[in-house]
Amino acid sequence: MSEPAIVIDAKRVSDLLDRLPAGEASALPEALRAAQAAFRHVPREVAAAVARRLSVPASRVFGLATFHGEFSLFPKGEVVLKVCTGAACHGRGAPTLLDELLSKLGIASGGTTKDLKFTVETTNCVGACAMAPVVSVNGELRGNAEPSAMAKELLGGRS
Amino acid sequence: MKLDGREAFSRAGEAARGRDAGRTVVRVCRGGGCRGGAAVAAAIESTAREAGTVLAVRSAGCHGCCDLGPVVTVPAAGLFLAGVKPADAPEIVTKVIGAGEVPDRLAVKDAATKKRFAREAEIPFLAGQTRIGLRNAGRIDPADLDDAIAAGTYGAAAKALTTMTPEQVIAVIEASGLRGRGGAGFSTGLKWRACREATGDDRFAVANGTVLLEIDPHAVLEGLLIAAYAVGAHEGFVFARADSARAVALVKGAIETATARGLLGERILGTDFSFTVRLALGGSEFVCGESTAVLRAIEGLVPEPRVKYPRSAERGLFGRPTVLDNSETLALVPVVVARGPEEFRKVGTAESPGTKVLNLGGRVRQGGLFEVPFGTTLRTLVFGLGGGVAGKRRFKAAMVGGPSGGILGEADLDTPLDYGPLAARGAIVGSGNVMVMDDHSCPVDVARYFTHSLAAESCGKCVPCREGLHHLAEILTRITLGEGTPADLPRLRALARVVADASLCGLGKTAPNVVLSTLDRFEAEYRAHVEDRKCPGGVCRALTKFEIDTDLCEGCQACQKVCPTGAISGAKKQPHRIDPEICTACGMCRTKCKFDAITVV
Ligand SMILES: Cc1cc2nc3c(=O)[nH]c(=O)nc-3n(C[C@H](O)[C@H](O)[C@H](O)COP(=O)(O)O)c2cc1C
Ligand code: SF4
Repeated sequence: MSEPAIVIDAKRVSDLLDRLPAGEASALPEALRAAQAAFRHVPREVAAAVARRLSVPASRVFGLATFHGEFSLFPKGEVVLKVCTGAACHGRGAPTLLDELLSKLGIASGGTTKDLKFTVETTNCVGACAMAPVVSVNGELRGNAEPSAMAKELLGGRS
Repeated sequence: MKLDGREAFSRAGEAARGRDAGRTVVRVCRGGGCRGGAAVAAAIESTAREAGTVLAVRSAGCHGCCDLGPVVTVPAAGLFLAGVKPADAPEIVTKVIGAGEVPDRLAVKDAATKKRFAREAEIPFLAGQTRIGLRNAGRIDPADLDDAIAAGTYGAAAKALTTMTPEQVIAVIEASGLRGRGGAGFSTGLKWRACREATGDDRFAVANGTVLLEIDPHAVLEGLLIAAYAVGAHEGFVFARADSARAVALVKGAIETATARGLLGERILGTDFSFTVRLALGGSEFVCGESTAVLRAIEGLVPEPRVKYPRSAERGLFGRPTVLDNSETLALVPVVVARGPEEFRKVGTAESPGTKVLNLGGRVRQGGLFEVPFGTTLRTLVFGLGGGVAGKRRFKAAMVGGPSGGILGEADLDTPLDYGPLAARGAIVGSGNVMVMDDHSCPVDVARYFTHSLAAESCGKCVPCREGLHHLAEILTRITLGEGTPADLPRLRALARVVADASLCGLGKTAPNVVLSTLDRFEAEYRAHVEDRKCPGGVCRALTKFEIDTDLCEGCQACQKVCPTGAISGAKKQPHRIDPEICTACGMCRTKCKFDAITVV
């Protein structure tokens, strides 16, 4: 099986750039979020184009893109699972849950499966401590379950 | 339509309050945690239609107890139903709404006494709170401006803008003694005054912190508007975590609707005052919430904190005077303005008037958001409101103040939750998170875990935090692996002090709390790790050996079923045995044993 690739078509890039206020450096986070949403990563050529559009050095674009966990220079999976590692979740099985997800998928924390289906990351307290352990599934919160049962449910039939 | 004055505003309030006249209102929560609220609402609606019952089914924001969700309330009757499923709809329509009878299974079971309550005013963990910042939690639909207006939101802003000078507003906030709820507890009034008096043509007002935004976004916006009026800002931002999809959507909608109604934007409520609010999104990293990092993020820069001088009040966002307040602080501002500083001071302590929203979690029976007066003891929080430690376990410690908070032990249970008393014991108010640990936990492992994760959170700008936290985590990891030495303990202490003293921002300054506070309280357990190579809590695997106490074991085989390595043997009703050669000390069996028969040797 060949590895899936994410197509960076020129139209989507130019749409993305057109929506940014030219020369407005403070729009950089918004630009990166748009790129991440469109391509599940910030492709090199998009980073360079954003730098030109906003009149900021490319180093600043990469600086921000590599600072935040929400951005990535490599494609993330279709499903991004973020395991909350806040205090309450830690006390209610988050480490077990994280371990199970990672070992079932055979990746390290922050990693993505080869077929680009799943990415597993950790995140800080999402404020839903009463339903610990909490996982954000593409932004939607799930919780209130036994760690191993949750791992199974989150990964569907996959093991 | 734009509200062009105080009179139009009060008419809008009456209209909003009157819109459900003659109908019974039922609220179904759609908080982030309550999956299934939509299905419950639809089921109640269709059942009522078939039965010919006239209802107004409305959404509610998070009540702060997501483990009980989805929650359905009937406000007029004061009823509060927990764990509702779509199949409960017929009973809700006929029995609950029709006859005021609540089936036992939908009533809230009190965690401590096991008694069931359906009246909100009688549910101990709700009735025991003083909800001021959370006054509308679960009582309004956070996506509905009319709900907010009906609840009185924007009334204090209307009062301030039309009857008070900015100076008077600042004087009221100062007199109330309101302290920032974002962690440091700085005087809000002083901060506003500094910003107002700073030289500069224009200023900014910024709201920081996400939790309240999901519950009551208009209360935060109203507070921000009052802050802006007080300091003279005409532009502002609400800064929220980009990954909180719900908060982001709610704030976006709230800004739009409030602007459309003339409660934000140009010439607010027909006055000369204009204030435009925009939403700014930030990362989920811990440091992103630090005040100077927030301002840098809004400017599009990497959110690394900067030194506090010049202060943001003088030179903040884009170099202009800026006031930045936590969203809980802002949600309290309208209450201070509406009811006056004396009233606000009636709860809480002299140094810290008012209440604080705490997020209780960990090994406690009832977790969630608890708003209590400053000065409430840790004991009242954990054993009163929280119903005590979950299962049959004993209280061992509580981490107070969030990921960089301090660990308090049993001897600290009577500590008043307030800035001064907590600081004196090595903890902080911080984010208001309180995590309870039972006797199956290990303070050394907790210190290792949080130091390790905070080391990863360090933005790397300053050396004590960036290098110091890694080194602390390394020493702690060694200790939990059984490779520590007694000399590690003074080393930890010394290094932790350096990190706390020499770091640039609050992250590095508070990160060592967990190390220092566990060393202070649980030194014996540290010693057991480095001298006897034992983990008394039975957590650090390399140092733990489990045994089954044959006197306590009932032979139920529950442990055998969960043991991932098949280390446990024994026939039914016969005492079981753990084979130490196979056991990996994962502790799964201990979580399953109902008889406490699995002991650490
Ligand atoms: C590492 C770190 C993280 C912080 N995170 C937050 C946060 O998430 N929300 C918040 O309101 N304040 C946070 N703060 C506190 C802010 O720096 C700031 O003090 C606060 O928002 C000011 O508002 P207040 O005076 O109303 O408390 C954080 C501080 C530090 C040092
Ligand atoms: S203390 Fe840590 S988080 Fe704060 S500025 Fe220094 S390195 Fe960054």
